[in-house]
Amino acid sequence: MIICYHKIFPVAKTHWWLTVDSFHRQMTGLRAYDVVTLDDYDPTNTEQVVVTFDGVYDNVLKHALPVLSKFGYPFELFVIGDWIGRENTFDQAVEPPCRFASLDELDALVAGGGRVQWHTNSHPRLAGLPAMEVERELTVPEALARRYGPGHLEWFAYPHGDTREEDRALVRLRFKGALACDDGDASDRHMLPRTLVFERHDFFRSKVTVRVSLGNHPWLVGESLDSLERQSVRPDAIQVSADSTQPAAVEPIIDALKSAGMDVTKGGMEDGQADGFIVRMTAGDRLRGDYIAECRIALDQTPNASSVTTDLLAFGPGIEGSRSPADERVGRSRRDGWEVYRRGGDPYPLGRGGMYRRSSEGAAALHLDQPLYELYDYDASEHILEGTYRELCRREAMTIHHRTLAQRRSKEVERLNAAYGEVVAELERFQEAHRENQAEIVRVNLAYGALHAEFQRVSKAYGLLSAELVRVNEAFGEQRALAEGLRAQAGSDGRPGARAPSRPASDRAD
Amino acid sequence: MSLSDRCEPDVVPNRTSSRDISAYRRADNYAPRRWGRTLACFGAATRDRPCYLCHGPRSSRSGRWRACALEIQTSDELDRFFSVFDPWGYEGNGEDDRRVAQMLSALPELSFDRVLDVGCGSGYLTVCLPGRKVVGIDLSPNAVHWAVKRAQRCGLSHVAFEVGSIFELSAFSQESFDLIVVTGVLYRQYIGHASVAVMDGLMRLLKPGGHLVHAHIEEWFELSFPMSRIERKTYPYRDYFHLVEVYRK
Repeated sequence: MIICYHKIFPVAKTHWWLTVDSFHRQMTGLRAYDVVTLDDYDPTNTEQVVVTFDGVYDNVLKHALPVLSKFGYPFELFVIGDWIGRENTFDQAVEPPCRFASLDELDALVAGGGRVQWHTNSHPRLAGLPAMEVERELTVPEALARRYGPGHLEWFAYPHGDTREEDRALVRLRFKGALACDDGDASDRHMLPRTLVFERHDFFRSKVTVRVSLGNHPWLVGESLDSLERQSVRPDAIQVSADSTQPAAVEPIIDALKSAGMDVTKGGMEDGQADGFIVRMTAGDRLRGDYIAECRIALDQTPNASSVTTDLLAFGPGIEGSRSPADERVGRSRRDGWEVYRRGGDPYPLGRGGMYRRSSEGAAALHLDQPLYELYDYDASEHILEGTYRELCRREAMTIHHRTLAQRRSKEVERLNAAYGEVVAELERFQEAHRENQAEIVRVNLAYGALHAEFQRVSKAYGLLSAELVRVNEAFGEQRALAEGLRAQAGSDGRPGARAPSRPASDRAD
Repeated sequence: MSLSDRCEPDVVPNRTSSRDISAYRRADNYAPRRWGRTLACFGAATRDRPCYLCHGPRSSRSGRWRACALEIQTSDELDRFFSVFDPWGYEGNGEDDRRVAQMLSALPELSFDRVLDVGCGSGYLTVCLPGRKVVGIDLSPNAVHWAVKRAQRCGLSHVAFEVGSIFELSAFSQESFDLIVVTGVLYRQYIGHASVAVMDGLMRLLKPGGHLVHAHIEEWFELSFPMSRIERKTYPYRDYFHLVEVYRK
């Protein structure tokens, strides 16, 4: 996939502008892909992504480069030769004023991992231009080529996505490859398709639902929901489940959440309807600002993972009673006098945050959430833990469960399901054939019956005919005997019979 | 440096007495707009749905370009605003004295070597901050001018001011501050939708184990730093509530 950006700025003024937050979110999503340069790009490899910028405005340096440098992605800069360092006076009827990057700014972008490529001299519609003009547009100025040297200005992007056959021929002579827009052809190195990316797109593969259980601190749900609102990447859905031990206290909170448009369910921490990954938290928990983003990255990068577990900060009035020697002290709240500890290392004494994939077995969920139940709902030492709040945070020491038993079982079930499906399909095929055979048998039977009836009729007719024949033969024999008797009579009295029929002429002669 | 030591410069145009609330009223007009108060949007609004960025209705597309009214405030605009010494009416305002006191009381009890105040304005808070070396930066040259005057008047040699944008903090070397203070800056009006990049930029400047403290009007503040939060408190401020959070890298 080759993706195309134009302007990156804190506010999106038109649809060609992307906010820095959206750009950052999209680049975060690309962590699970292989971001490469155009030279290394293989259109058949769906894991590869090339990041390209058209026009190359100064805001790419100011706002996109810090993000790209953070992730260490290479990127391609398709410059419009005549407009380097100038303002966009040519399209200000439809676009707000914006300055193109100067040569110095391009240098800074190149130093940050960019490669300068060619997007014509003046960004015309090639379709309407004579060949001479097209040639001029495709020709990279000598000074620019010398400034950036080899590795740069070897690729071309068609302005407005115009890819006429005759232009392509000219492009083929000058450039290693070229990029079209959505109508490109992945098999043609000089017309590779490109995706325009807009404000709301993202590249995450995992879906995430957060379930907030009101638990034993329903009055704290405001803070936990607040921490969800402030995520750099928001979850796909937020559900609140009201499983408090004090239903009466929870009712007004549920009403308030419902009137705020939240998806509130009464009942326990059952999974309910959710796809993808689920984060479970209680009202006493908050999420660190990058929690969803970082967990998603980890999960996207590890397709086999069924869950991700994370560290947490523990704080609150009950913290001293519940802390373990392995906890690392982070600081102390001066207002409340609470210590804040980071719980790290493995195994955990109690409590852990994380996401898990919703699976029919539920094994992963059980493994992860048991400590949560212990900590917040069913533990006997509740009086100590009641006041301990947590902030789920992702830091380097994160555990990813590769192919847990549950996952393998799940794979096995999938395989069996597939085999079962095949058997069922085979059975259906067989039954279908059987039904066809039955119909054939009926048809054959019917035909047999018809034939049989015909045979009977014919047999009967044959019998009648035979009987007739016998009768006729008998009659003939009688006639013959009679005739012979008559002849014998005639021979004895010397006179031929007057009624001797059909005698041959020779017979008559004698 | 205590609150009572805070000094004012010699030349203070449009000086208002502490009881004169006109500055306060004026300041209120300039207080950051609630994200979304907008007339028309050229950006993402459709006929059926308002813009999901500015919540403004769709603008007519005829005629010249009109902004999605979410322009972030430019340096020129801020600079015009800071043509006066105290545009937000901090001086002698009890609300802002409390703000400084709350901020200072939230700081960890540590000795700080290098301290940065981002969006320092005319240095109202900056001159009170602890630290062996304190740097204030602001986008407006006028604001920095007033801040330098304030520091001179107070005879503070450890406080320095620079003109700089929160989007371009790379002028400072990485991991160079023990404490970063941000007050009333991380609103949409100034940073638009560049929250994560701005937070990254600030965090890059923090030494490992360094602290970041911010104070913002809670209703307008939409960020959460990806660091360990060790303090969160609110207190009434003017017509709103201020949120103070302390993070540790």
